Amino acid sequence: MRQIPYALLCLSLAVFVSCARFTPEEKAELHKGEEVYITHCISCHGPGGDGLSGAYPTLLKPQFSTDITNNTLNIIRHGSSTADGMKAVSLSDDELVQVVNYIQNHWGNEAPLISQSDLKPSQKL
Amino acid sequence: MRTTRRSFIKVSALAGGGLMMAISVPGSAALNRLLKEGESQLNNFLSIDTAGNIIFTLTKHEMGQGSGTGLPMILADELGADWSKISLVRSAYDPKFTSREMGTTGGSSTIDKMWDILRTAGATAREMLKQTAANRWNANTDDLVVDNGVITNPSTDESYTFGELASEAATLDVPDNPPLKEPKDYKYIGQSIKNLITPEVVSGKANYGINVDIDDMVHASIERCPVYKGRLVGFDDSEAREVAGVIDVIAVPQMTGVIEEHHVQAGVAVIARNTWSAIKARKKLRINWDNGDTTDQNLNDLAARMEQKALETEKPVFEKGDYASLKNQDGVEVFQAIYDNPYQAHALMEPINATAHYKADQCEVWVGTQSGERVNNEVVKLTGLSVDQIKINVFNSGGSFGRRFYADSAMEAVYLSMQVQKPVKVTWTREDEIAHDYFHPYQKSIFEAVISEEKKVVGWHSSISRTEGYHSGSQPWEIPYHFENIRTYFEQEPSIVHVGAWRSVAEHSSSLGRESFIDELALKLGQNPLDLRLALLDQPLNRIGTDSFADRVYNYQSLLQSRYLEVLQTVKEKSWYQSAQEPEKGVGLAVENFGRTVCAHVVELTMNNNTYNGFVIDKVRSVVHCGTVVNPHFGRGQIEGSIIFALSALQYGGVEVERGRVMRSNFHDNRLVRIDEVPDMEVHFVPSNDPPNGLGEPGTPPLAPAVLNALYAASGVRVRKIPVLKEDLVREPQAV
Amino acid sequence: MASFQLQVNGRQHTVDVDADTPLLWVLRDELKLNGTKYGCGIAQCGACTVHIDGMPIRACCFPIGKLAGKNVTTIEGLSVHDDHPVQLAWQEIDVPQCGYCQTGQIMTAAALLDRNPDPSDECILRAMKGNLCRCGTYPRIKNAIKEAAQTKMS
Repeated sequence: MRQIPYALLCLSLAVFVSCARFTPEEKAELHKGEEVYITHCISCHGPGGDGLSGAYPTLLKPQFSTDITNNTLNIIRHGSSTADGMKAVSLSDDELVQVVNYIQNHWGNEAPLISQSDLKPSQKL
Repeated sequence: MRTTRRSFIKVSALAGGGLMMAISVPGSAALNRLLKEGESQLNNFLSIDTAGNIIFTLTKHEMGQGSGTGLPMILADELGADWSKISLVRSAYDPKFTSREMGTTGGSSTIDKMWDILRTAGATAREMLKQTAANRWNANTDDLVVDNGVITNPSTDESYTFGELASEAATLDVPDNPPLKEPKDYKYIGQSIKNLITPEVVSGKANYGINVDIDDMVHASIERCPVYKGRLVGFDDSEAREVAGVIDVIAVPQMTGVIEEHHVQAGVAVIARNTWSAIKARKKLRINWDNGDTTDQNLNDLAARMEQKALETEKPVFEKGDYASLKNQDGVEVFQAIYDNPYQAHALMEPINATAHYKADQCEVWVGTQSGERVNNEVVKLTGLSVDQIKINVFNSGGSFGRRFYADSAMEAVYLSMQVQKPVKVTWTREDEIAHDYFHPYQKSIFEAVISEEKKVVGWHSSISRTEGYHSGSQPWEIPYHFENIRTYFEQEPSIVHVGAWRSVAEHSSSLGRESFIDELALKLGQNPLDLRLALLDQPLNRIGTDSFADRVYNYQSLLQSRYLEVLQTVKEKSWYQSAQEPEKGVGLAVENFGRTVCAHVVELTMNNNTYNGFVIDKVRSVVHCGTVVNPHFGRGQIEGSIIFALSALQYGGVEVERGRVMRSNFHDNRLVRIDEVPDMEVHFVPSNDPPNGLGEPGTPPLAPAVLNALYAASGVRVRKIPVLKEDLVREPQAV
Repeated sequence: MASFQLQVNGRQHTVDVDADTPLLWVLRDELKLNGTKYGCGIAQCGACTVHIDGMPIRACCFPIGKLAGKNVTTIEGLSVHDDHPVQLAWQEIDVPQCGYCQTGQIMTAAALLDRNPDPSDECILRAMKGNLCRCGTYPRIKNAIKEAAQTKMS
């Protein structure tokens, strides 16, 4: 049997643990979010979301709020305000929602799912 | 043949057995004052050894346009070679390459300039091999068959391989006028032969300047003045020197080469044991710059100055007929539009780099360059060494699009090597490559037409304002459409950033306005834009004189006219240019020539507010006339690549400048089209046996105007600039 | 500066660099493995893509100090004879123009097919969006990935 990469296991286990919370459609969207995460985020924030053990900001939080979610949306859309911080990432509105939902619902994170209608005008393309 | 003087070919014995061909090519009249006229010579242009292995020496730069495969294809076809026995050697720059035929690569001219040379070389070697076989068989060369590296006598079924004949062939006289193949007999030309660099690319072994590694080499990262031509006042390197691996910190003076276009910004270089240490230490430099008065060194101020100049100028560079008096006639309508075509960054995937090793009596450079000659000239100036003490090693590059035509990175590397007395590799960061680019010039174009009462365009005027420093490509008055009265004004404005060649140069700058304006005129006159173009193209040409120069001009214009017509008629026959039948969708057309190649794009798009720009390009269909298509896969790739390149400029391009500083730094703020933004593309080449013309650039200029025309069709909004942003597409609310 | 052990393509190496040195520059300057390319330094172009734990990682942002003994696979180690299905498809379709971005493209594509052997067009675009190509070979990249997927499955 093919070896399953450890990182993929990390990601998948997180999905498995929380899968009871989501409908099949929501899971499909979360899977897309995982793919967006792998393409744009995993290199710095790590397969475990912990920022490669502190090299970069961790995405693990004990709880979430609309402020936190908005902050995340803004950073991805516009980049961090610190000089050496993260730069804006080229994502569609779909991808932005998918990846934020993924980040906020993995590795033990739990937050209500957001949708495109939750995006402020400045967070949309 | 279009060349007026023939190449001179010499064949001699190859060491170890076989034949070696030397070639010298007369230079064409210098189009660029910087290129020397004279002969280009290459001693080992082509060799065939006793095993039949054929080595072709590539003097041209391979930057992704496929010269490293296209050129040997032409040679191998005429020679009758076995393609699997062809390999390539990349030549270092040689002072004997003094002209565009051999040394410099650019202007989409390689396949055009090399066609005759390669075919003649291939045919010459072939005839000598045939003659050798004929001598051995006591047969007639006309009766022999050459194919796949083998010469056969059909009447006896005897055969010899090239390898078996090469040594003896080298002893024969070189034939004059060897016959060239008929197109129907082409074996490789016209086939999608695979790129010779693909195996090394997919294995990771393909070599680029950025990979160079010389014994005892040190790395340099340069903090350059952020403002164009600002001065270095002083710096504090104490913190930088504490970074592990740092060897030294050296000031780099602003430099202007023997070629004025070659500009090096003042800066401070960290010399270190590896790239990362240099980059890391550089961030810790504290530098004082004197940037002078940058109050009006802003993009918006420049744009305003340029627009004012274009509006006010009365400096004619071309006049035909009497445009001025037309405007005063009764009953005419004057229609004017202003187009904005800003600076563009190159954003090459392989950031600029160069390696140099200076010693008292020699200097060696390793660099990916479109012009070894320019690098050579600058090394001579910097070092005072003579040409035979200098070696320029030329590498394939990770993209160039005109940027690597300039020797600035080599100048930096040589300067630093002279200071540290070791080989120095200068690697630019992405931020350096964007901020210190040689940007595509900024051009404002005012187009104006006088329309008669009979609804005919009787006069065409353009006022062009362009940033100083780089001009190449067609002149703004060289338009294929016929008008009785044409006037062109042209002004230059000092640039606030350094400018240089950018894929499709002046054609990209001017096509935006020309191909948008002709559409606007058509719609104003109630005519189909395709039909109006055809009508304006299909007019008798006038000779400008009776001498041979006038003949050449007439022949060139004639060829272009026929290609424009054929391309647009093909668009018409294919029914590609049809109005979109649904709301929010639009179709747009534009056509342009780059040299002898003519390219038309038909763009289909849909308005979409959920995207960055407010629209999605669904499809681009192109008709291209470039004469013979040497390699259709490569040809399609160049057109598709040109479209995507142009699209990046249209969607994300322009370059903001504030107080003399370029405000872009990396791919988050100098965005490029990504794989999920690529339209469906279809490229149709007009079948032709004419000699091949270039494909590297022609696909770029007509893309933007075709999109702008499609946007108007889809939305009713006429945008006259790039980049096109959502805010440019806001529509007037419909009256209820 | 400190001493770091790392495993690349199954072989052990020791390097003396600062802990914050990105893996990219360790591979290129210390180990002389030039297949992995520098393009942007901010994980937005994909030219530096390697595999760590099967994931496509942009080595330009991965500090050597955080590698913690994991094996890194670079383009040089993707296959023994340059015959990974993705590499073969790249040759079959004849994808490259200048070629500089292609090793990163290949590594990202190979990682995609490992986790999704039969990706839809939408999946391919989503996974490959982080890899830039200035020459515009995108249509050929997409076709090559589909071809590689076919080959892998049969």
